[in-house]
Amino acid sequence: MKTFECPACGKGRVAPRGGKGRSFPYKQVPALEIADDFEIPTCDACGEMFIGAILAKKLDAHLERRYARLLAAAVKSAIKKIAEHARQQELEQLLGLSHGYLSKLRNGKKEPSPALVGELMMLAENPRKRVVELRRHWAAAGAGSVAR
Amino acid sequence: MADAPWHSLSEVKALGAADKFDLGVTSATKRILPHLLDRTLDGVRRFAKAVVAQLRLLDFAHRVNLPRKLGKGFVVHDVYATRLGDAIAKAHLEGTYKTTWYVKLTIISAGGRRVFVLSLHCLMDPIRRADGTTLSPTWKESQ
Repeated sequence: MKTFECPACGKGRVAPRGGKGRSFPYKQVPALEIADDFEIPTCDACGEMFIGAILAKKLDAHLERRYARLLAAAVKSAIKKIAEHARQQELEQLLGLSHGYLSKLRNGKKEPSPALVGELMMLAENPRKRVVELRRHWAAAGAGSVAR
Repeated sequence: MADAPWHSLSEVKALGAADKFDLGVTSATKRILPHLLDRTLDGVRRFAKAVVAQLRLLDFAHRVNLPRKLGKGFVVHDVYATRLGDAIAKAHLEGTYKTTWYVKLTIISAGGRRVFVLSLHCLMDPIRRADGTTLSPTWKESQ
């Protein structure tokens, strides 16, 4: 693509550029990092970036790949932390997952849903306390349904 | 203050319908994303197209003349303050009350194609439009 005068500031030239520390809000992630070598037309004076139709599709695909990697890394890290306080089989039971599902996630054989990653991250923040709470909530929910 | 847009609104709409437009990242993309049902860049562009398609001359507020440093004259932006219809708000936005929007656009020639560059975000302050009416914000970006 040719460079063009920056329509946002009128002072610089816009040309495809990479860069460090660039990020985008993507789905529920407020700032998902873009690879340094991913080129986006950027003004050399004001730094404004411009996204056209073709680039939007490429950048969406790029962000989706990074998003999937982020989910996979987050799920592995959460499972590792929780495993110190609860057996995997029990955790699967508490979360309503099929037997062996967490192993498949940990080994990258399955892709986790964002909802499950969210639950696991919440549990991993304080696994000792939260696993106990989860057991208690399920017990109370069961008792409540019988009473009604 | 100029009472008519510098750029033809029908040309702007034609470029929008043909997907021939660029969105500014800081003044459009990042500010729109948190309010969309589809939080992808494709979602941002579909919303921007819908907003441009429903712009009316009555929504025009004023021009912004930006002095060129590299060339002669000005880059002229047209500013619109618009209220979205229910259908667009329901189709694209989280919160159908988010109806008042600020649109700033200019048409440029780049690489042999005509594109317009767009700022698009929540209307922050009341804007007096060229026809004498004032559009006031119904919501804030932090909502």
